Amino acid sequence: MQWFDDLGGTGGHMDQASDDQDLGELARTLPPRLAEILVKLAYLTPPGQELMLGNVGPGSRLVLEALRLVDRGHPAKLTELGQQLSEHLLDRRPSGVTSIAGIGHLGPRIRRIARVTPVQERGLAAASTKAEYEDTDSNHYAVYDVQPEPDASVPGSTGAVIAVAREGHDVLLWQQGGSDTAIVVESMEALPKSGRPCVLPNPDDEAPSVLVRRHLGLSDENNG
Amino acid sequence: MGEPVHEPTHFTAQCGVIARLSGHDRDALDPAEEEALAVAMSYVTEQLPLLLSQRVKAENREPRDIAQEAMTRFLRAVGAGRVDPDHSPAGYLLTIAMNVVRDDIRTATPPTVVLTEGTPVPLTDIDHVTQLLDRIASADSVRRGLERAYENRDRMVLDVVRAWLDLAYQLGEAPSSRVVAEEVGVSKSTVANVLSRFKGYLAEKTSDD
Repeated sequence: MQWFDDLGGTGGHMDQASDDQDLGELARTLPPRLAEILVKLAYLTPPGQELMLGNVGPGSRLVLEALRLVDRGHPAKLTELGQQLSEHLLDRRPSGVTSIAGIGHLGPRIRRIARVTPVQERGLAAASTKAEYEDTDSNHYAVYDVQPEPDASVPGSTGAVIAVAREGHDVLLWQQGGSDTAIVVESMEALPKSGRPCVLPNPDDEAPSVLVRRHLGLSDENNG
Repeated sequence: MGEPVHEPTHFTAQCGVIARLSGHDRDALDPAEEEALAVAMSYVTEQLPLLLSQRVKAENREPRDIAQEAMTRFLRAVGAGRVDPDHSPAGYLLTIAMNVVRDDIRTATPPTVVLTEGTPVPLTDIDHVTQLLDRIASADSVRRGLERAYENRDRMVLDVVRAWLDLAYQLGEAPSSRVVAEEVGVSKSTVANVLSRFKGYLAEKTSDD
């Protein structure tokens, strides 16, 4: 288990930069929903963490255990590595990301992915996407016009116009228009239509075309 | 952040009392129930700040203020029937508290988008899920498969298997690829491919096996 041996930190061989690099690698591999849980755990004392971890789903728990972030057994506790990663994620998260928490019923949602099976019975709509405008020179800003597929559209639906912008090591996402509501896949939360945009970390300075596909789950995949 | 809470189980139970007795479908409480609710409210309100770490104070937030706001939102959610007393009300309350912390931190200018707190996560019951896992593998071999996925930096496997197992627990049966795809935000075909890849990780032998 080379990666865990490297990250264990028991021998005191790693310097801070190496620690950060390894934690960063672990953070990038961690499923987004688990990263969100770990960020929240940083605000809790060990008993509070125990309560929160006692309520995560079993799949989440097994992944956290497999990554040596949570001890096996009951009650669930963060390992030293888990605590370090929790703090690491919180320290590196832009304040604007915070909790764009759950949403109530906001009408038809643009869900994700081109040509995916319609899911109208759940009040959702599959979507296809096209780039409306992309600043190809600097590649810092793009607008996407996301439309439900014809067979998945809801009467009166006009899709959603989504803007994506890079700013430093962050990416800003917001919905400029359209009657439908775009959802951030990682958090299942609606994009803001007014006020502050949704701010997500973009440490690798990736292009909007990459980011919009990842965060909104849009892709050109065929549904097999 | 003050004295540690030593009885998380009791905290959980008292949150359940509040959720049960303050629910939207409750008739008038009898005197014993009123007393129980008062005791639970007092206990949870007192203990919740003690569950918040030093990080809260380090970011210039007052734990008691956070707890008060979280309790207000929690009771509103209970009154609206959004909290199932048998489905982790303590986890729901802590999720609200975390959202309050982070709302406070980011609101130099309050956002105009109205956002509600997150949904609670289900109670964990590894034994129950293990029965489901038996069809494909033991929990230990799943962990090993997940470790191999991590060694290959295969985040998609980690995410899809996480979602599959969490959904299996919620639904009480194996979830369809469509449901897993919705949860993770990928296509059905991707889910199928990822699960196939995971089977490969499960089948891999190591020197430890």
